Amino acid sequence: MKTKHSQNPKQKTNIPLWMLKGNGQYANIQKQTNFLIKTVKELSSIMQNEILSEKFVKSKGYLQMINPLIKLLTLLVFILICSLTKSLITLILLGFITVSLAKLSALNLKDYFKRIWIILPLLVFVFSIPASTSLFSKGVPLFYIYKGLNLNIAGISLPTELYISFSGLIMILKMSLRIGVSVSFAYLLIMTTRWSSITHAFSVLRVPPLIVTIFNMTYRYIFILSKIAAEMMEARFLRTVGSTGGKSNRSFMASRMSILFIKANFLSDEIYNAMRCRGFCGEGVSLYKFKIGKADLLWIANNILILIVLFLGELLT
Amino acid sequence: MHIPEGYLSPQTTIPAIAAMVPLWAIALNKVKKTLNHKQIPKLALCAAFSFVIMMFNVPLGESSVHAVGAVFVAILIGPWAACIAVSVALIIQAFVFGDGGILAIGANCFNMAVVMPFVGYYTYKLIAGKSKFESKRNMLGIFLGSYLGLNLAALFAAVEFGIQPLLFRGIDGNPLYGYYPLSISVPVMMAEHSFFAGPIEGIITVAAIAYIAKFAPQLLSNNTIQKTSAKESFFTTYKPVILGIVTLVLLSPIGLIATGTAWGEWGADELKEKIGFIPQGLEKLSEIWNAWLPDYSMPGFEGGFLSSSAFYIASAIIGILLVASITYITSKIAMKEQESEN
Amino acid sequence: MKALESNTIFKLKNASFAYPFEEPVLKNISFSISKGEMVSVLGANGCGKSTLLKIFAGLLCPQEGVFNAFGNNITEELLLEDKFSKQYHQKIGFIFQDSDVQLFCSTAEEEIAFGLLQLGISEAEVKERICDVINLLNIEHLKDKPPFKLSGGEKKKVAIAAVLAMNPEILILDEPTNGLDPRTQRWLAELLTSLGSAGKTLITSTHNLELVQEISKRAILFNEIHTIAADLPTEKLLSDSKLLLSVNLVDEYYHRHEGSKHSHFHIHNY
Repeated sequence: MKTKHSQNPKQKTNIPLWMLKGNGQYANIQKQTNFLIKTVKELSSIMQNEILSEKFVKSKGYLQMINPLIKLLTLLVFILICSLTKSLITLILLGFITVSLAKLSALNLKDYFKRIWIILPLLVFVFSIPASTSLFSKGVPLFYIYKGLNLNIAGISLPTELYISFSGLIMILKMSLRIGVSVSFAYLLIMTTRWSSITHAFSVLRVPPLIVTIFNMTYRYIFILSKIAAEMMEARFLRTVGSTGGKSNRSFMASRMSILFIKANFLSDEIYNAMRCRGFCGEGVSLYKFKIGKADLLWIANNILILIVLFLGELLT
Repeated sequence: MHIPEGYLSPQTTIPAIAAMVPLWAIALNKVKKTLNHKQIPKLALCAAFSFVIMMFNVPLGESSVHAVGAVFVAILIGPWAACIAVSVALIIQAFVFGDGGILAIGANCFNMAVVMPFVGYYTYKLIAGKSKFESKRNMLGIFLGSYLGLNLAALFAAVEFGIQPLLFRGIDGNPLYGYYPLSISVPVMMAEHSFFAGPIEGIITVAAIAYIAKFAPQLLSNNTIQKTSAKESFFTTYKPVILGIVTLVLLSPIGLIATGTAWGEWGADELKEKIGFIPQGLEKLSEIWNAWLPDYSMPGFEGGFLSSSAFYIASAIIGILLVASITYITSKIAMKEQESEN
Repeated sequence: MKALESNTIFKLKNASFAYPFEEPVLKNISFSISKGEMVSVLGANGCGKSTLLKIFAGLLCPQEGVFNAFGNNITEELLLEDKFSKQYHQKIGFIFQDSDVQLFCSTAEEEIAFGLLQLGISEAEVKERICDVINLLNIEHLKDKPPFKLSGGEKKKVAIAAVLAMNPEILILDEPTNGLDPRTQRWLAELLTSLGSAGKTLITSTHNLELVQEISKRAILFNEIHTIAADLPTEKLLSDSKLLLSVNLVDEYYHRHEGSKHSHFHIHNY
């Protein structure tokens, strides 16, 4: 089929006629609300604007003042306690500690709750509700879902009664709290500390230098990758009019993944070259030395006191 | 299939981390020996890539369903390097996104950074042999490798949190950590991964490798690790993996030997009986553990739960007040010190 | 490293280079560069300029022929040796075409510090050099900013600062004015001219013919078949319109005004 070209003698290039005219209306333009595109863009923007930029690292907050190595170790201790304790109160207290630390460290509380507590802990709680029933846990009934049922389906007799027990609820509440507390502590660490300081802390803890280097490079590449991925998604979105089916999405994903990898590989080679040009031979360097200041001593004292409170609490109850 | 914090008891997570440390050490050595300087950024890139792939997950009850890309990475840089790459991705995820518990890093790494790449890679090698990329045999190998790798990893994960209610129960008889038993966790995880995530991982890995073979074949030609493994015997090659599994099995369900009572309830005597010796520290520890009574069903419950919960609420409030004032005061002092220093 | 026997720092003899699975991008190249020279490398896109510069910078090695730097024959193995690599790279400052690739630290200050810390210089001197270089390039206001938030021109300045702080004898720049606004281009041209007069060896690849006559005394021209078309003093090369047209570096409207040292934006009415 021969496309008609413009007959304009002044133009040296052969522009097809359809390009010189307008487009008219495309029928059936559906709104593209592909979750993939939204997820990538949203995650990418959070990473760029908050994590990579270390937006909150420079704020005047409590946690920002603490030596990164001490912060890392303290938070690990708290996570360990969170995992070991069987007491609901301890978990609630730990949760409270994370919230107050978030507030004292000038973090955005709304985002904090939205990202940490609403997503995983809530989901887990909801999904675990069956576990709080008499099907999975014992205990004194709190309320009955049904009573005195005599039903046989396909030869399997259903339990005569199904209730939710108080102990069951407490059990799933503890689970959600464990998750929330542990994720909170990790979030607090990341938001208030430079990544390069955290990896420097790793190297102080005798993690091999090659691994520390890999961590740093991976961190950097994650941002580049997500940025490229977001741009690719954007480009596809802009070129697509109308909805696309599942199969086309899958092959789209596969080819995009490969292109992303190839592009990123080229970029990563260049970055590595740039690093070598500045003398890099496998060892990371840091402008900041770890010092222990008054703030750190106070922090340690603070936490020892909290630990004492927690222990005593458990002993008494 | 990340396992979040709280689903695994410390008796599982800590031995898992202990088992991973030698595996990581071996992987690091292998990487140092076979990958030259220039491959390191490629490894980091693969880690970043795996990270980004794993970000797209669909929550599934206790865990989640997502592609991992471990076999894709293993085909590009070898299974040992893949172990490091995926582990790095998982560790960063645990810290930055809270995806997967921090203590559960050992178990998660074992599933996704050891089981998956090794099973996937060697299955691929078994089936594809010396066939060229883009040939039918090669693609079949890639598909089966990634499918099998993912599903086996999912199986391990399902078993890990499925045995928790079996082994770790509180005094009240309720599970302390994971509460859905094997009879639920295994079918659910396996169904989702064999019918949904597995095929997707397989198809996407095949397509991606084919694409790269066509447009950037130089990326597939740097795998130098094969040189050494051809000469080693089966046992030498697989020894570290076997070691890891054996360690995990031995350490974790010590409870299996003792018919599963939670660690906290063992007295030093019981342990002596079961194992025949008792480390000093453990004796002291068990006393502290015993002090940590989990119960809200304590004396006084019989009087109706209102009175007991009132006590609970009261102690919680006191605790909060104490903790709050300590934290608030110290932070204020710290900030004042900081300002006077500047 | 052997002491300098002559003034030659770089020497290529029958060098060829091809990327894996691709056609050669440099064919049989031979020429030398001496200390203190100001050289431009010109040619249409894809003729191999970047590759040549990377060979000089110690990032690539020719598969055929010889590359000799500072009296040593450079090989892949030699470049993998950490000690040699550090010394080599300290002498050469390389400015990449894409600034993003070169900026990998969290703030501009850290970026400048990176190379210095790798050199093992004392903390006090590191701080002093950072200060000096920031003042030289007027980027005090960018010190604490993350590089990815900077504009094209600002990124270029930070990249140059990071490289200059290491005090290399040789500066290699790959299309340094790409993507820069006219004012920044002017600033860069002046900076390079002063560095050249101070005795630094300057090797620049560019399309920007206005820049070429200011920052180089010698111009090496590549043609589209990846060999050297000419190696002449700049003035002479730039006056040869026929030559430039034959390698597809200029279009048919290219012309020069006699004796002009600066070029101004102006329009001809044809």
